[in-house]
Amino acid sequence: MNRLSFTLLAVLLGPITACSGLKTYHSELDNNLQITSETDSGSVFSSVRAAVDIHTVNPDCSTEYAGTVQLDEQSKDIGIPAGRSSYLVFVFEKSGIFSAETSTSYNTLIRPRHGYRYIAKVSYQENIYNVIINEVDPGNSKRRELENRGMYACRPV
Amino acid sequence: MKIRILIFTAMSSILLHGCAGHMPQTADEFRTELPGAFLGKVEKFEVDRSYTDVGKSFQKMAPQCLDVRIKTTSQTNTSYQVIVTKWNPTVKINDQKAELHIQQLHEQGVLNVYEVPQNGYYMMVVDAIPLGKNSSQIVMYRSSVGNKALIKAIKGWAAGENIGCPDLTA
Repeated sequence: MNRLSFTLLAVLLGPITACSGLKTYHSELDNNLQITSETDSGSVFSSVRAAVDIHTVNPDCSTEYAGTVQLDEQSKDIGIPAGRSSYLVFVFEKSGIFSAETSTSYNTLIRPRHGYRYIAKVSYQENIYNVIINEVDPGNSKRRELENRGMYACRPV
Repeated sequence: MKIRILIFTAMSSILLHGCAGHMPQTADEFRTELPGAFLGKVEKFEVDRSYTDVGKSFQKMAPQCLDVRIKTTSQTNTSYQVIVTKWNPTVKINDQKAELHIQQLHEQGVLNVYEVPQNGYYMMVVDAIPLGKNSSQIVMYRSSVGNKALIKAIKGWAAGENIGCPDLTA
């Protein structure tokens, strides 16, 4: 790619990236959340993309967008703060040749405990989506499935 | 999606209003009027769970999956349309059965010709009726076309499967 092409590409992609409003989630924390995903639109004419938006939850229950993790066939390991709540928004975007792009989401509050691991299994198949999050006890590796908790469950401190 | 909503609205009108210009205003009216309606379907099957367990599954999953507001926009060279539909699930459990009512309230972009019940037009009613200690009959009052994912999800919930939520935008 010559310099002119690179410049043109940068000029084109710059605003697109800037305007999308999405940023890749990055954290210096130890990884405590593993996410595996499986998506199938059920049609050769459409596809489904999955991602999770991570929001930190403030003591007054307001939220701040921290970033997005694109989900694909590879499992993703990320670190989210222990001892405080985060709000996870799993987004499923479906697009196709003969249909409009649609988006649906599964939202839940999570408050990881120190030392515990969390495993999220995300799926979208035949127009049904599912997110199952298990908490793994570090002592005995026992798993406990977490209930879905919406923002209504947040109590200001 | 827009087409689906228009088809559903038109179909609901054709299905249920009859000649008197009436839409069911209660779940009981829906149960009574749907069997004789065009494209109306009553589906029955059994599950190996008590009706209260089925009701608890409905109580867990319906608010999580069906209490949503869906906004659909469509644009052509000459028009721009926005349709906003609020889905309203209700779950009731008494000593005779568990019920799931699903209603759709068109908040924007759809002209409601007939009287609209408080939470919107009824689109589906599901009953879990006790057969034995650990078995129930599920009766779905629904349209015979469309809503495949919704029907599959509700059947899964009734059976106690961890099946997830239907994509109501699909």
